[in-house]
Amino acid sequence: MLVLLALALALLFVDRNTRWLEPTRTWIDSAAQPLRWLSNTPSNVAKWSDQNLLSRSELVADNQRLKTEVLVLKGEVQRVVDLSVENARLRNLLSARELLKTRVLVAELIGVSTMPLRHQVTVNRGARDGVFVGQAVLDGDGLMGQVIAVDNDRSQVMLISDARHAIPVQIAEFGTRLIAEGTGDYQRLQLRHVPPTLNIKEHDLLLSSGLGGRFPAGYPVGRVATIERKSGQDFVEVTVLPTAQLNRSRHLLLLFTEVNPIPHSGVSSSIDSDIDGDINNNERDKADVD
Amino acid sequence: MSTRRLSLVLVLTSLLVALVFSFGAGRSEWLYWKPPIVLLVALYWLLFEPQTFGLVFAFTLGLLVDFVSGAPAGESAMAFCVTAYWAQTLEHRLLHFTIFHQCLLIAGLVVVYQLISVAIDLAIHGGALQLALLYPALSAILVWPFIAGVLGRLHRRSL
Repeated sequence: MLVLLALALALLFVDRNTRWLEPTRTWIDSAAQPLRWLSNTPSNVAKWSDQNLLSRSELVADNQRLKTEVLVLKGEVQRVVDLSVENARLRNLLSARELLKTRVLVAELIGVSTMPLRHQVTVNRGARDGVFVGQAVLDGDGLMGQVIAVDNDRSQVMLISDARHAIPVQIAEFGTRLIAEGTGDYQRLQLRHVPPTLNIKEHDLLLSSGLGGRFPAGYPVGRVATIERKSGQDFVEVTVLPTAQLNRSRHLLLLFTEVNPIPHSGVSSSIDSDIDGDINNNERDKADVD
Repeated sequence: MSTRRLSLVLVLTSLLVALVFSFGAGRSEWLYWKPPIVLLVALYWLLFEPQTFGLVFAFTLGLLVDFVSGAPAGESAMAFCVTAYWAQTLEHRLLHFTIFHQCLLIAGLVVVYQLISVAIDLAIHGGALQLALLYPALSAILVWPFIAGVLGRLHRRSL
């Protein structure tokens, strides 16, 4: 008994401080893959029947709805083009050195942590798809979390609601910087050290601030849900409802941020290249500078 | 010899099925209520085949759970080990209990298990202690008669 306990403690120590156990972990995890697949069978069957057993009228209605949505989104994209042109111009004025460019990879949820207090999910993308530790993960509505471990074909994502997680945020309206911590509850984050004088209201949108360099700036994290001012306390207790559907989304987006140097001449042409991602244009601009 | 082997096949199968169930995502509102099925199945074998399965079995199984669940290696191993030790001391009495009393004792063991694993989690990562860690003990009360019933029937048949 004591020997086994000592062994467990030693393992905990080794796992915490070294990476020696990684190969074993990867190996056992791959061996358990068929079991994972089996446990997903009910939801896979449900998905299959959803996809294959739809009535025609439902499909037509769905199609109609999607067409409308595409139209709306196209409209928005035009605005985005306009905004990125403006953004590039302003950055150029500020002589910013780089422009962030993002690309996403769609990943599917294949498992959740067996420990309920650990808000950790497994997705079906891994090192082979270029996933890396620390990568930001989104769903359609906002930031979900970050990658904390990567295998060849799978990776573990810690959600922002995990009690061990904290993320730097800013209030969208004013840019005030704060830290949002997970609480172990999917529907609640908590803001750390909010002074009573801060102008914060319910339903205020919080965006990632990009400080700390782990999460890119400007992605929605949550909306202020409750503000509790207790007399005699130094700080206000603010809870936040995450915008991402932390416990419902089955498809996640892995975010790749690439750093593109902004050429310092010819604003208009640099904008073209940034939008189309046309390398030749970029090269030409560099040549112009030289 | 052949009955022995049959029994081992049954043990392995039951543990694999328990692992599959423990992976199941299910609806997230019920996540906190998920009973530690692997532990319950392990407890069944520890209590009803004590001459074959002991602490080393519990430890190995806990380690396996750690590896597949992404927990720090050694966490469940330790929790499994302590729970198994406790179960062993109770073994002689437990077998004479009614199923209802068994359920209460099992709930107690699950609480011990949860407390140890959450304590290790807190020591390593910090975080908040929640009442939710007791929910699995309650759901274990509901699941135990089922596990004990099904495994008991299969077990007796294999002997």
